Amino acid sequence: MIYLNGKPREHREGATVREILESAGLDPALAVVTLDGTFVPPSDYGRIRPAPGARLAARKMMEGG
Amino acid sequence: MEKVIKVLHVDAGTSFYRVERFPVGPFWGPVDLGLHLTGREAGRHGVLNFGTGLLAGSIFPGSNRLIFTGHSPCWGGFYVSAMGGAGLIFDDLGVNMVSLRGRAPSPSVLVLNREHGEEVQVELAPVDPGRIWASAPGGVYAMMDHVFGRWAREFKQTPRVLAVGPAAAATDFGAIASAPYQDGRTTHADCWAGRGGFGSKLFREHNICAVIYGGTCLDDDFRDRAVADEWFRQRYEKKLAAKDFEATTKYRFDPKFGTGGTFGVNYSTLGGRLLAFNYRSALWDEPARTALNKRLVTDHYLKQFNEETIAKKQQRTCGEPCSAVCKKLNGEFKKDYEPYQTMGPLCGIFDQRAAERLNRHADAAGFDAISAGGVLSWLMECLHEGLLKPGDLGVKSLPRWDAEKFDAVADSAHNAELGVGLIDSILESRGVLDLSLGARKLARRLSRSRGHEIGRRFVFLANARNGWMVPNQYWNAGALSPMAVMGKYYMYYGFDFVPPRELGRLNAGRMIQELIIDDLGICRFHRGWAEEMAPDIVQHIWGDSARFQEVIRATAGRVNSRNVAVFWESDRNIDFLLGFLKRKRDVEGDKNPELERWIKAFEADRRGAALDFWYEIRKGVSETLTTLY
Ligand code: SF4
Repeated sequence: MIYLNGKPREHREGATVREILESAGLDPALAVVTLDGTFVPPSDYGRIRPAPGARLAARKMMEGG
Repeated sequence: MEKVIKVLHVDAGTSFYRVERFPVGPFWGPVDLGLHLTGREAGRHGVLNFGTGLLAGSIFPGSNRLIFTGHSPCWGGFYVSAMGGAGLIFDDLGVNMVSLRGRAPSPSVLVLNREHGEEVQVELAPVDPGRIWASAPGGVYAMMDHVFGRWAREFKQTPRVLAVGPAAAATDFGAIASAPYQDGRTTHADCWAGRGGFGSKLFREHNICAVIYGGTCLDDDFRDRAVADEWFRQRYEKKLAAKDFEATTKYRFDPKFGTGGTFGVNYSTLGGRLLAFNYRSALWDEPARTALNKRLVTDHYLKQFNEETIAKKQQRTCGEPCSAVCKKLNGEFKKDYEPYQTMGPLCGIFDQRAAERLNRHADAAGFDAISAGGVLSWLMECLHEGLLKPGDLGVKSLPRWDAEKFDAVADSAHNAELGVGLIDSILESRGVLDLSLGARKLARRLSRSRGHEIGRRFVFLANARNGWMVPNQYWNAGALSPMAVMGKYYMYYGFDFVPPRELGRLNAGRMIQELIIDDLGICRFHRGWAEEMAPDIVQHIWGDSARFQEVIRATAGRVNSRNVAVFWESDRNIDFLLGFLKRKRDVEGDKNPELERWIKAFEADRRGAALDFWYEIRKGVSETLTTLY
């Protein structure tokens, strides 16, 4: 189990941030992500594997311009 | 691949020039090196740097931005401004950056030409900018045409022109414009280094009103598509072109909304978050905002855009081959969200013809369009409220700002005409309108002489003693953050409530991401892959992604070490923030106890809570961008 945007969610251990976002229907390209309050750079989405109980927040970003 | 970054130093005062080489490793691109040069010369010379990232000329789409850096006259601090596509031709000069210092003895055009392996030819040619700006088609457009017409034939391949307009002479927020030329004619797809007043800097500090550059120098750019496709396949199971096409959907055409570009997509999704009439809408209730949005934006302003621009596929690129084709046009008028927002709803304009008239006038004058619209909407409100009289501002009418009875066509046209008059007043310093030292100075002066009600209505970010910037047009707390560089997207501007300390940390994280793509000269509209892939690409090509990321983090820290953000000087900034917070709770139903706590704090002590909120953001920024040993 992890928390995604404050809600508990089934978690496959070893899943990357990218996989978690995609499985929740979120577009990683448009997400601003924090893991336990720390900003996660997009280049780490495919590398970082949140531990069970982690709090992941994925905020939607506007396009800007 | 390039192992050094070549900087062409040009002294406009003496015409002396030389090339200096910086190793890749300690330096990576136009932002970190621009910051280094700005700091190195500080106290001796003001420098304006412009150049490309290391990926310019490569097969990566969007990699040809021309990045300007230096001390900004209007922001009062180090600034970074990016112009789409103009790096492609710059790359043919065979240098990575120009660092301009000194002041030409008379207003001049800087000509930079290079044929193959020859040296860059540097020429400073005196011109009469006033006469050129006054000729058809006017302002920056006349300057671009004049310079292109006079010098283009000296280039073996089509050159590119950077130009400033009269706003650069009269104010501290003049921008730099450049439109690609095709078959000897402008494409109308103007690109801008809009923010930061670098047009004013170019003209007032260096006496340069245009730069024309080009050449035929071939260098060793990364062009191996098969290799790049393989990198993309490994990460996305897609080739580069396919991933880029997917990542730039919104800028091209988003079937979900039936529109495209920043104007189309933003106005399709804003709803009650619309900002209108100098942010007075932030004080309204939600039904009033959504009703205005439906009647005047969705059913008119946006509808016109979709019918005229999107349905007719009037779109272009910034000059580089790009599948995003983000430049949405109606004939000669280019439509981006923020300029058509500040010189649109923010000024009480909800009709494309009216917005085109005002935006074109401001663009021809060469203003930073976002700041120009923010200043105009403030002045209009002062007129509307009777705080200033038309004669004070050199105009003859009052705005029509009655939202309930608003006539989308006639009232918009009236307000646009008033805006045009105000721009002319600014350029001619009519009445009280002296903006030579910026709008914050003007607000301060008018507040002292005519009453504080004037200054409290001007929404801007304050920096150092006189620095100012009209915020990005998103109704959220991020847009008012105390960051070292504001007015571009070095912050988090999502619409959710984020407790301020955390928002500061997010801002800092976002700043680092934006610096990565600015330093590589990549267009941020491609950030759907660029932010994620940039370190990999650097690793594959230069073999030292860790060093690159370290330099970026150090650059963010250094920029932040110059952070002299000043607490909001305008009460309307607090309205903006508090309106956003209340809307989150009351309209969107956000039950975050932190949100409730902040709203209560504002209700108990409005100014004190605002100061606390501001400082909390600042703390989050500092704790992220400062290294603790
Ligand atoms: S998205 Fe627009 S500005 Fe960016 S590279 Fe493509 S055409 Fe140019």
